[in-house]
Amino acid sequence: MGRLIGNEPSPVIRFAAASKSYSVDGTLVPALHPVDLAIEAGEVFGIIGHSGAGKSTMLRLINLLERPTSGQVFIDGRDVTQAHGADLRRLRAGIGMIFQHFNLLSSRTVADNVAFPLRLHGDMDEMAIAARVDELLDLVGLTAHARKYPAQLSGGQKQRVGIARALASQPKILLCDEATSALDPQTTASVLELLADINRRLGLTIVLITHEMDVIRRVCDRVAVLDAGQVVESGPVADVFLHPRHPTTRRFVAEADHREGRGPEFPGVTGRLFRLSFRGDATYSPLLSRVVRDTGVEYNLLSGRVDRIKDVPYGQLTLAMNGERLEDALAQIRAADVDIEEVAR
Amino acid sequence: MSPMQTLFPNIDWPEIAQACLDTLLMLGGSLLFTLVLGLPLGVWLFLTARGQLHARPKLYGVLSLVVNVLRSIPFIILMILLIPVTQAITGVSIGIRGAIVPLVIGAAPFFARLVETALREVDRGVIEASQAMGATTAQIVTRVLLPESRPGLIAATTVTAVALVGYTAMGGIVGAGGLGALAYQYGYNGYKPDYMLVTVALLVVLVQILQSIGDRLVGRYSRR
Repeated sequence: MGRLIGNEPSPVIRFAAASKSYSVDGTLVPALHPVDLAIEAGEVFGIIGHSGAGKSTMLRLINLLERPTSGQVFIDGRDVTQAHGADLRRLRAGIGMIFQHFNLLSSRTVADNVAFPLRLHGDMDEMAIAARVDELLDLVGLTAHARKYPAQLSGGQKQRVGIARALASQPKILLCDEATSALDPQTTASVLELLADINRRLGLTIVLITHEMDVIRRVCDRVAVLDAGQVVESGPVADVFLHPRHPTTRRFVAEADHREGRGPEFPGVTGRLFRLSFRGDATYSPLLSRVVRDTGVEYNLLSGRVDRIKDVPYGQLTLAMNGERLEDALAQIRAADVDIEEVAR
Repeated sequence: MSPMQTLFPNIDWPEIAQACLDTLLMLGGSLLFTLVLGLPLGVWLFLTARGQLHARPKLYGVLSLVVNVLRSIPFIILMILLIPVTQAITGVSIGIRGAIVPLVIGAAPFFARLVETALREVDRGVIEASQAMGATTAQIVTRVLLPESRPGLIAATTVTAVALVGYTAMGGIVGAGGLGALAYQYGYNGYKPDYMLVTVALLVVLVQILQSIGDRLVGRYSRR
């Protein structure tokens, strides 16, 4: 593999102080402040932010649908901001993209939509194109709909056509622009599953933008949180999700937990409040009952969630704890690789 | 006297047939050249407008002004103004060939504007998706914009063809002949109401036919 230098994986996409400003009535308004970020080959990288945070701009800097005002974007170590004309078109052909509103050609059948990128570059004959289209439609489960027009499909099916089309030219990178935001929860789940499957099977690097923490939690390996044109937090999803630092991140996590606006107030509950975060094997071990037996502390479970981040189980519980040997109990819990955070009340 | 002669005492039917043919020839010829000139002009207007693929606001301003000027001049005046141009292009200033030049110059800007409007109806996201796939501007025009706006373009062609039927009727001024000329010469100036009735009825039928063909084609190509 050419992109590996020694043991250090070199990023497939790297933002180097890349920024974007738009001219509005003669004044430059920043949409994205200089950002430094590396996305590794084969990972699913999420960018989360509210609308207007600059995530759409950031995504479009990768295939130069937007050119950075300053700084560079590197793909496989190459500064793509220098690409123009045929060079730029070749570069774009190697990056698939799917969209919130699918952006299919309404005048063409499903099969012709998928064949569209293959016919643009004119290096495949019709036989080879037909074979590739069949293969792609099979991959996204739409073989039976090849002759239909987009208007005859459901939203989820349209996005599957979009995915098949984006994969047609065998890209190494797939950009997803709010790809599930126009879909209902069940369809969202199946499209995300398809993306995760593609990522695993084809080793494709996926960059997705969303305003839903749930999307990040389900498929992403790492995440960057964008707020007012700035990356305010980034890292592995579990770290960011379980230990959000920036207020914007906390808000996203709270939304995902469906506990918007509710503070940690539990009137009538005595003791100190702790939030326990654990993941991996610790999730399913009978830790609390052991600690209670050993130390005699009492606890009261106030809120909690046990779920998965991508494939890793995790849990987050809020407890009120009492007892003479509270510190011992906390030490035991910490020793079992569970993070404890005291919640102010 | 046959019933036809009783109802339409003045009418010379072979002359009506000739007039029908003249109108159809003028319409066919001018529509063809209007499409050939107006379609690229419309695409050019679309591409150069602010915020579009090849935004050239100044060029767009000039193109737009020329189109507006040509559309503002009443067709009857345009025809007279264009007599020298017509003579230079076709060698004659009257007759069917003489009428086609002003008809095209009158209708092409109108059609171009309708084309521009139809292209603007194409979803921007679809254009962006094509760019993201590495399409050239020429490919975006021929494989995305034109096919996606086909129903709109057919509707624009229908409207233009109907407008051209009206223009050909004025072609009588440069001696172009056709149904409109007959209606004017014999029906209006010659006080022969049966001529007026028959020629106008035939024009109505022609417009109806054009419109229903257009509507049917729009229906066939609409995929939304």
